[in-house]
Amino acid sequence: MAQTQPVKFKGVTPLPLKTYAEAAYLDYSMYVILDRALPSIGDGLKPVQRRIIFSMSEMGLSAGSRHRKSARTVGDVLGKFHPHGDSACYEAMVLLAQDFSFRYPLIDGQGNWGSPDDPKSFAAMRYTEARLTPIAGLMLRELGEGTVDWLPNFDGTMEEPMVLPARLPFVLLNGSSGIAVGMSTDIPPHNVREIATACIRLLQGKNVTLAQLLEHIKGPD
Amino acid sequence: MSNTYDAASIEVLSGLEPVRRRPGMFTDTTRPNHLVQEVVDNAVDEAIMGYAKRVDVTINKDGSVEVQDDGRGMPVDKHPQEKRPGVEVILCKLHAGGKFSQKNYRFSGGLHGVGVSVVNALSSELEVWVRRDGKEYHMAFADGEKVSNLKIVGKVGQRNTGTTLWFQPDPRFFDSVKFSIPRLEHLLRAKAVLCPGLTLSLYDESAKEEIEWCYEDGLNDYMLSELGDQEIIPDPLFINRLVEEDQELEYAITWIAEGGELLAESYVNLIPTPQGGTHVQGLRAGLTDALRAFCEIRSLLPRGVKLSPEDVWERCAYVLSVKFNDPQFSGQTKERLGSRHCAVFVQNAVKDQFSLWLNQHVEAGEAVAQIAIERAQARLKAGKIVTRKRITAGPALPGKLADCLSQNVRESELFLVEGDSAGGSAKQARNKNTQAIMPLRGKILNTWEVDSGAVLGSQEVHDISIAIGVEPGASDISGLRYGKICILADADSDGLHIATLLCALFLKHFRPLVERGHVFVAMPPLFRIDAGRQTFYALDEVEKDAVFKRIKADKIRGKVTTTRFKGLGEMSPAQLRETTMAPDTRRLIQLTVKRGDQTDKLMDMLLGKKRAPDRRIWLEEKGNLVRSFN
Repeated sequence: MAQTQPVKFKGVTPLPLKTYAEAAYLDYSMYVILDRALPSIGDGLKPVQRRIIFSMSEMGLSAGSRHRKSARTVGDVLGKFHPHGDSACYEAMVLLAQDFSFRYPLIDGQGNWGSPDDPKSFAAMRYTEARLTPIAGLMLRELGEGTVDWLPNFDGTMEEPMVLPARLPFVLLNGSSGIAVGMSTDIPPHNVREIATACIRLLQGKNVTLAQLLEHIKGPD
Repeated sequence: MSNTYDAASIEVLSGLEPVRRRPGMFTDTTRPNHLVQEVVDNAVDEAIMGYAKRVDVTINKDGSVEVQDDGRGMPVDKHPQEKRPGVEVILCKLHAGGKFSQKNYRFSGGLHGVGVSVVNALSSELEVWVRRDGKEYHMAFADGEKVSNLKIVGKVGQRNTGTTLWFQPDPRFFDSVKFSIPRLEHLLRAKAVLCPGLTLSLYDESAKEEIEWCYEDGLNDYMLSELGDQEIIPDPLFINRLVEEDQELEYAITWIAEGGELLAESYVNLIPTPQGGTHVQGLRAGLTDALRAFCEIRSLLPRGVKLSPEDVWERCAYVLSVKFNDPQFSGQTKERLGSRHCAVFVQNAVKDQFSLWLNQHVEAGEAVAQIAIERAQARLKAGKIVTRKRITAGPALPGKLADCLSQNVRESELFLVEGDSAGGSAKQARNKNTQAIMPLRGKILNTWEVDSGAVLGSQEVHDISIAIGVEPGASDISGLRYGKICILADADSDGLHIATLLCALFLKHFRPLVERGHVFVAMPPLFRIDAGRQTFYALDEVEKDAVFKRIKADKIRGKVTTTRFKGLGEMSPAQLRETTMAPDTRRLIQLTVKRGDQTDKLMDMLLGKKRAPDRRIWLEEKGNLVRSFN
């Protein structure tokens, strides 16, 4: 077929498709890598998970308080920090609460949160209730003490933490798995005692080698 | 016609009358080949038992046939009940034969015992010579009736035994009295193949041609000579046999890649069964089972592909021969085998043997599996293409499409919108005359590596294709319904992703559209800045800063607020119209592609499944060019 000239329209700027596609996809890829699929090494959380935990702590749902409806949490997260779909946010929250999915769950859920043979059978968010687990306190206790940097949220009305001040390397404790663009992650979980001992060793010792750390951490748990 | 219908009106046919009154019931009346087949079958039965070594067939110039074998010779002594010589009983009475009990014939083809008497019934003349016990006997018939008794006409050597049968088919009973020589050749050769060591010959007096067949290693030579020079997989072909107490099985199979001539022959007790039957079904089932199991062990099947019997069978060339007692055929012409137990027997034997062979010859086995898999994939593909033909034939537009009134391609525009929420806004914001809206639910399929035929499998792509009136992969765009196809996605990262996927779709499957400049991208604003009473829209961060500068420069007073749009659904329809859809105020970008500008290479790197490492490198290089949103 002969290459005909493209039809020209008034008031329209031509742009090579490849320029547009490359820029668009680059934008999307960086967004997914930084802000969606890959966990931060500081607290081992993906952005949506961090927003959920932060939001719950702002609402006062610590380990000692009463359980509150999940819909409240999700609504809060969506409205303040996370401009995306509600079902995705709720599913992320469910994952944080399942003890067969997360080695050390950060959310203590009441109600049907799914079962090992059917992890997707959790109840809708209007039925379930949740609060934080004690171990989540490890990440949140020092939040208000200037430990982390803050970023404005998507409409600039509030601020959210860039990373939570976790006192143990949660990225190793809970592990993570995610698929981004051009890269993906798969980290297995580990045992808290082993990790804690290794941390103490690292902090107290001088020039601790990997082999020495591995004396404490036998492997994934 | 008499009006009384009483017992006297009932006729009882006796002797060979039934055959002469209803020849079609006993033989194939198109031509007398089947008569020869009957006589030859009897002779070959002797060979199967091991008594005969030669069968000679002569077609004389006058259309008569002579078949001679060196078996034991038909019985000449008196039959205890009938009080007539055995030869006469065989030739004159229906349902008389030595093959009903298993004492004389282990596996016989001429089973019903009607065979050779049919030949007698339908021949104008028939003569038989039997050589037995050192003497030669002779008997003659005409029109099925005896014309001379059994007489001794000579002496022969003690070891010289056999039967010679000569007959002249009666033209009254046949459409044509001429024999089909090629079919006879085929038949005799097949008999030679299936009975190793037996020699058969055919002499055609009118053509003065004589052919002889004798195969020691029958099946292999036969198949190879039939298939000619075609490439066969596996090579050498797979031959096997199974001999049991009361059944025997011998078969050779091989596969031929696309386009070759197949061989498909099956025999029961050396009688050809052109219409197949339970034995062929058993072979097919056994091969399929074995191949399926092999593919599973070796994980050869691609995802979603399952082997059906047709996939295995379609390119398979085979010769199958089974022998067992009391086969049930459909009809006297024995064209199809009906015995049920044969299917099971063949299937089990073939499955075991073929499985063993496959696992011992892995390379060849994988080649065979490959042929079957290719056929399976072609079948699945064809299934999808059928859907395409059916649907685009009708004028049904997708229900989600909110069409415009104008039919003029030059001025009409289609907006592909992300999501129903945005779709709703857009439908309210559009100009009903010239702008059509179609919402896309979710992210569309990554069609970069999908075939044009299969891409219609995705509902979204299918709807797009129908709405624009062009088929994927077609170079003809005369059916185009809109002059501008605009991608209207949110300004956030997911919207950009959808835009990229749509670009890939149009580039890969609707390339002429892109080349002709029919594909656009609408640019909705990301920010709305209110300064006092005035409203400004900014496409991205850069523009937002520019607007702020302008506000400062123009000294516009009043509170400055910034709203960031998360989606098109957030804008009111009026805002949407003003910023994105009204031709005067909107920002539209026309996507262009030129030959040789490496667009395809780039898109392949972005969207190809296996290019993840390249993408990583690309991201490392260019990642910092992106302003991070939140």
